[in-house]
Amino acid sequence: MTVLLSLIGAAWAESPELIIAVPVPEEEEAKPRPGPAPVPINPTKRVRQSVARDVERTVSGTPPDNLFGRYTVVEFTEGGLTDRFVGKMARVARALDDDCTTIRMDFDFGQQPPEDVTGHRPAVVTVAQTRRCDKGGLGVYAEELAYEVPVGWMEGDEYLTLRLPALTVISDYVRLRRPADGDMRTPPQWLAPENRIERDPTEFHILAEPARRGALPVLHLIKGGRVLHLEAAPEDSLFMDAAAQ
Amino acid sequence: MHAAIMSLLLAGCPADPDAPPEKLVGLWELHQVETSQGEIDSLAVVLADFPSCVWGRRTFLFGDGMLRVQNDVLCPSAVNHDEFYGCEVAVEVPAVWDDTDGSGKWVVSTRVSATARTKGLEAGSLDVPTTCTVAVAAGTYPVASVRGYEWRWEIQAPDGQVYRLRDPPNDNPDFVAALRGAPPPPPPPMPEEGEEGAEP
Repeated sequence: MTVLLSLIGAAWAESPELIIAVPVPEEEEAKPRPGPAPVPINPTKRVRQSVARDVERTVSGTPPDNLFGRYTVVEFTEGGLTDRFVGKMARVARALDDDCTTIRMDFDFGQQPPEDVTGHRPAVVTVAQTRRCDKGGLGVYAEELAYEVPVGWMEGDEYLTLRLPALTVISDYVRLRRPADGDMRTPPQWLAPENRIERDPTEFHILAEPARRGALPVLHLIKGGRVLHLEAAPEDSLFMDAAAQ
Repeated sequence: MHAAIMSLLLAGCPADPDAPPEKLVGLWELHQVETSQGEIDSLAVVLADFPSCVWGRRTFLFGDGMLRVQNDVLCPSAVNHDEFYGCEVAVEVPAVWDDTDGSGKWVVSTRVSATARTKGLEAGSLDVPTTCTVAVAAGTYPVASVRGYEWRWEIQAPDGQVYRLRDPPNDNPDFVAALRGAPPPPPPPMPEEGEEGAEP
């Protein structure tokens, strides 16, 4: 009996891909298969909750069909480790003893193109970085520095390439209090930490994961050994109220 | 004495027609803008983009293969004008000096705009949200050197406007001086008749 089982096992091992062909009636083959009903895309629908991980996140996907919508960086992979973007930025700020911590980085690829358009690529992209600062005299405040640049695109079978030009963007603040009537003293003033973004000409390879129905696909922006993992940006921007004013 | 003689000799020499055009480099401040309607002072030009602010300036830094455009503005951050904020926002893009055809010009290949915003998150921070913007247009900026005026250079922006540039009094904006020159706080609103506290 034992010998028989061994023989069966050996035979199974030699032909692991056992495929059973089932004939399909011709009528069924001719019928067009009903495709999924079109679902309007909600650019702010969350794909999934981001999770912290200490292993490398799998990067897979294809070049995106239409590229649009506002995305936020949720995770960052470097040196084989994936980390939450916010957590990594907090650690960087602590290490540098900065008064400001980057809490958000968004890529805005613009409005959704008309339905009959395929292969849409925006001519300009807006990149926005938000920091939370705690500085004596200025209090606790959020600061956003956004820049809008024309971008270049290069199509490929494996990935889409985004070209960002070289630029430097700087912002700075000072808070001043007017001296009392007749007081000629120098007004009290408090300087904010400078905010500077310097970018060399940069190429990102973009991969889009298959999108869930009605959601924007997860994007991976790859540059060398670093990967930014992007998901649809939530609507709860700190500056939403300010923008509406 | 020797220097004076040299100056006289140099003044009498005609300019070399084959000499390359003078290159515009360094930090310069907008003095006026020439438009088809006339000249507009720089303060009015800058404050047109920042209507709630009381002072502003725009500077241009021409450097080694780069152009930086910066807006500095001083704006009230409280209704009673007790507090102000000074905001600086700048964009720097690659730029190339071109004098191949005998006339000097800076060429910018990338149009960039930037917006800086703040918003207080806790008590004690700035009362009002702030927004400052700046932009640099792509294109050719022909340059002309000017003598004998308050401004030293004229550059023509890609939109056709001519910017007159002067030597800035300071490299960095002097917000304290600007605050001293800021208009006085607006008078408190008069209580309407019948309102509590109104004089009979």
